[in-house]
Amino acid sequence: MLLKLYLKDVKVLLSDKKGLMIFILMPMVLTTILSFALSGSFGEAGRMEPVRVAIVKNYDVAAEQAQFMETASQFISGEGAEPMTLDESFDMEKVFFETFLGNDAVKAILDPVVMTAEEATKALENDTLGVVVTLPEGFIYDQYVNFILPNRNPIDVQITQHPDYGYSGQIVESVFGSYFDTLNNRIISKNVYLEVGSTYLTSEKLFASMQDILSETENEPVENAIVLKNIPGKKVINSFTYYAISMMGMFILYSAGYMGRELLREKKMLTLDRGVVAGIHYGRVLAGKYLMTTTLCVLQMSALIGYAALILKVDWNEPVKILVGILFSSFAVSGVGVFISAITLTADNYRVANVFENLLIHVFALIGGSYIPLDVLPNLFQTLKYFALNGIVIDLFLDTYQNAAWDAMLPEYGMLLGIAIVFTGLAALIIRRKEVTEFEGTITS
Amino acid sequence: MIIAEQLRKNFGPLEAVSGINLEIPKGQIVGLLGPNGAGKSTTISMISTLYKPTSGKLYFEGKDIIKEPKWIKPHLGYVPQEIALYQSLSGYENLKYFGGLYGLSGGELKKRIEAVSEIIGINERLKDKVEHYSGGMKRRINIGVALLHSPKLIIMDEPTVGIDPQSRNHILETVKRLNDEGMTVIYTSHYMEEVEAICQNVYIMDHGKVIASGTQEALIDQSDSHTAIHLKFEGEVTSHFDALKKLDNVMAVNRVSDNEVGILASGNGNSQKEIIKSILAMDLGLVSFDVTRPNLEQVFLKLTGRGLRD
Ligand SMILES: Nc1ncnc2c1ncn2[C@@H]1O[C@H](COP(=O)(O)OP(=O)(O)O)[C@@H](O)[C@H]1O
Ligand SMILES: [Mg+2]
Repeated sequence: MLLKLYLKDVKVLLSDKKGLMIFILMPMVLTTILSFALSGSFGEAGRMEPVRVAIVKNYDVAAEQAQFMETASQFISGEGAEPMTLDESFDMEKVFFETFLGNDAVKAILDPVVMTAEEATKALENDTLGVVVTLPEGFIYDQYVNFILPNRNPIDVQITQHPDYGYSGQIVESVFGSYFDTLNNRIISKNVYLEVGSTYLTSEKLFASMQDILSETENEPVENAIVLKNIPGKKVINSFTYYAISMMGMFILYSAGYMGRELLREKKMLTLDRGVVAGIHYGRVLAGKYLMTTTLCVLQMSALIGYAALILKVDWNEPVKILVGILFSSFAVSGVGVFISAITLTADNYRVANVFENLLIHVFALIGGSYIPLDVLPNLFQTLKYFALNGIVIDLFLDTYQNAAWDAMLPEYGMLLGIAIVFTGLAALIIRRKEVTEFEGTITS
Repeated sequence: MIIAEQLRKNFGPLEAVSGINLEIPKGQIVGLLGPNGAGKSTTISMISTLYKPTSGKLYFEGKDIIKEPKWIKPHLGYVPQEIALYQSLSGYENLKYFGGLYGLSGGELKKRIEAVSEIIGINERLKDKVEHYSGGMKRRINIGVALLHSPKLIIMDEPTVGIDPQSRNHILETVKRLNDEGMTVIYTSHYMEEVEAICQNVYIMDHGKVIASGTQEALIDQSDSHTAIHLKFEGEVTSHFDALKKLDNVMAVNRVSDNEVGILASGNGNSQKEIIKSILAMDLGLVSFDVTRPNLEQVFLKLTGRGLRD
């Protein structure tokens, strides 16, 4: 029976060609226009933004330099050589921060800030930061040792990252990896130089043959372990992606609006009465309409996502996450829709549905970020968006687009599911009451 | 088939139906005649189990349908007062959907749709959207939808409102034919002519009460000492209603059109003559008049002092 109600509702929906055009084509048109109009103010498609990286120093430069000097002098002592000094060019910290992190190519990928461990943890939690790189105690000392002395001390750099930041973990890992590779190569050559070269060869000859030695070497490089705790990715959001998502968030609200009129419409058309005479309960009618709205919403979202992929070249890879996002969003929209519908039916006029469509949707569009990205608005809006269904949907799909981990999107899934359950539950209660009052005639219209 | 005892329905402070008794015998067409707001729709909504009566009893084939509406539901065809159809779907889709609600499906449903579309006389345009149908066709589909599950009882709430005479006749004939085939019909209308044309028994309702009931003949016999005079004037006469009402032996005045009125007169032929004389003396431009035996309209007029369509 539910299936019959549902199929009828879908048929009625599909028979409204003009309505469907608005539901399906309008968001496409608006997405296209807004994307092109505002493409200048967004990042470039397909490129990465530099990942904000916090550098936490767990070492003490002065102490470790002093400690190294001491160790070094034990090694070199007795040869009567001049006492060792570390000149500027040999400052390991400077090498790391200026030569390595200050390099233009690295700067395009990483945006480092030095923080304390607490600050970094907080920033990570607040979402203002993607990755934390912790340089361990002995970082400086061990590098000196590895670089100058025959010993090799492993260096344990720890990389912690926010689950939302998908690719950045890999990027940071590989960038740091390459730094330590370079360092290892130098260490190897250092060893060759120390063990063989310095005694028999001139430094030029030694340097010339170094490449061969390095490429053939079977020396195990030092295990400078980089412990990666989480690896997702962060793609740049360009205007096409943003507006495809934000228009989708906004236009699915119109599905809720459409649903908002449905029950009263059936009541006024007397088709509801006809169903009741045939033995249909309001709850069934509501369920059928809920599913119809879900269908409409899924249709809308799939159409826009498909359009964005094919025409606007938005690269959503993550079909499963997209699909799950569509479903959760549609459930929530349908919940809001049946809720509006239940109130509208009880009120016996379309005021609530009208206010929703003509006023509330635009308010939601604004605070949810459908018109303007919320990043450019005051911080208050970052919180406010969670009061707008489209805000949550946009949040979810931006995360999905950037391939965030499942658990990172749990709050959004939870909120959408919560909206779906709460509003559908309320609608069911309201409708049940209405059914009784209608039957008993305790409400005068 | 249906028995209602002291059936009452309040909407808040408003008493829409105030304790009526009905008896609908099996195999009859029973008319519920009354002006707008008389409580006809409310009454049949209670029989259709759409509304729960405030008090009273209601039986279908001896079973209490207030307590257990399920006894009547499968046997009842309900034709609402307005077109209760999905306008953007085709006639066929509407029939299919509503038939489905009664558990019909597959070949059985198809056969019933064919049979019903033959009864209501719509075949070739069944695939068109209802919104493109004429008023008469919509009304016919509206009835057809209620016939799919071959109900024992069909309740029609003013099924001919707002349609052309041809469609109206077709509908009346359909009702008669269904009745000939054994279907019991409750027919609600504020058109006296329709009720006169098809109903064996009539309940006349006003202000939530049954003010008269019985066969047409019995009802008319009640007003036999009365006559109806139909008067036609040159111009507009509505402004003279009060003057007309004040004439001796005039019981009620009923507007037919701007320049036509019906008068219900008491007494014998002499009193009628007096009335005509007085009207001529008023110099209102009387064009013609004729005196008829009363019909249901006049019965209502006599009982309430108002016309059915005032
Ligand atoms: N659902 C309702 N709520 C409140 N009043 C109603 C309702 N339905 C009908 N009424 C009132 O009850 C009275 C009888 O109405 P109705 O049964 O529709 O008369 P009819 O069908 O004879 O025109 C009218 O005054 C009408 O306004
Ligand atoms: Mg009515």
